[in-house]
Amino acid sequence: MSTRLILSHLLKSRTAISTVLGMLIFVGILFTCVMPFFLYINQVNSLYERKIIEMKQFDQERSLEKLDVYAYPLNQSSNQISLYIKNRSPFTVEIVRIWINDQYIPYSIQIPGTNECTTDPIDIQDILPHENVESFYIKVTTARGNMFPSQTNPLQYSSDYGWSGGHSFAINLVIEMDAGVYNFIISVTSSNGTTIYDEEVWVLHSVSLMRKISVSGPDTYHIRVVQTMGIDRTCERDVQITLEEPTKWVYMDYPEDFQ
Amino acid sequence: MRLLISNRKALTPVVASIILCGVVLTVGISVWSYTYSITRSLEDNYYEKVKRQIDAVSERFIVEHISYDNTSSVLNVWVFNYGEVDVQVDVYVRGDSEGRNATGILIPNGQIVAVSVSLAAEVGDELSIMVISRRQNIVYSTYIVSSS
Repeated sequence: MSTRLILSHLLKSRTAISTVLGMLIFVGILFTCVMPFFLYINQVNSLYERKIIEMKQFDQERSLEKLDVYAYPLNQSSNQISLYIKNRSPFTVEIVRIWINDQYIPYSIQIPGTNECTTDPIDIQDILPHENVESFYIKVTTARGNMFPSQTNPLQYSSDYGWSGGHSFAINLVIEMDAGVYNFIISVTSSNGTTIYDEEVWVLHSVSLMRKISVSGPDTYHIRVVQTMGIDRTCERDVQITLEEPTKWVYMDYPEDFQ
Repeated sequence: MRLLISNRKALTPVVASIILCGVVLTVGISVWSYTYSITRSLEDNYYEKVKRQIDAVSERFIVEHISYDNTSSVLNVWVFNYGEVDVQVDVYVRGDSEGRNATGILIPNGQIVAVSVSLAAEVGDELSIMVISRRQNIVYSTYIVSSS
């Protein structure tokens, strides 16, 4: 009844069609302009918030990155160095650069979480001093923007004596071998027979192995390295640490130095 | 039909209705068109504004290395952009010596660029380095001049 009344009123009214048209246009504006506008604003705000969350996650991963870097010369008079890098963080870390003093070498290597790797030998012939002694500070930069200095810094090179140690009491042990699979057991004992270092290391297709063994002070330390893959072969050395020379580099060639 | 033509008064409401509809349609379409263009413009402006904010929060860079060349009296500041957007930086040096490079050096994302700052420094001078991006993000670093 009421519908019929409205219809008859509308049909009699001159402004009826115009009112309907006006209302349709108003609803059209609402649905084609205003509502899409608010939906768009909402989408753009979501984009911004998502980016903030992504960057927070990125910053958190960056803060969790942790590498132990050990730079070492391949032998006493070598013009090449290698870096042994242990990734102590739970995710993959990409190394993008290696700095040697004020020069950098672009590098690209990815180290999966909690894994370790040894870089290919890096030739530094051009920057080695031809006279007197020079110190080398080595650090690596990761893709997430972290920098990690080598724990063997500074490496000191003398044109007369080659490489020598740093400032802390330590034995830097370097074992060189042909690429292959090896199992080394490294132990270091002090003069009173106390074992200060004991580690079993698997080497997979690397040509060198480096360990920095921190010692308590001046003493004579006995290093024993046993290679257990196949026939057991052993190499033993006595190393004297003094106040004058607190860090010593010890090089062992496998199999030449092993019996 | 003859009756409608002969009754001139009957034509007026019809013509009036048609004119009214035409006016409503014209005004309505104009208002719709104006609203549509205004909302599109507002959307674009809002997106540009938020995009600038997104770029500002995505910006990441560090001072990776600093060295001073005693012979040329130039401080080299290596800035590494590890963020997702390109950055433009100015470098200001304060402390025992002062200098700046405010040329807005462009550093593409993932790249390292050495920014040179001319200043007269002595061995042992302590310098405070401020790298400021054009999006107003700031990174600080310090450096003690060593013999090169």
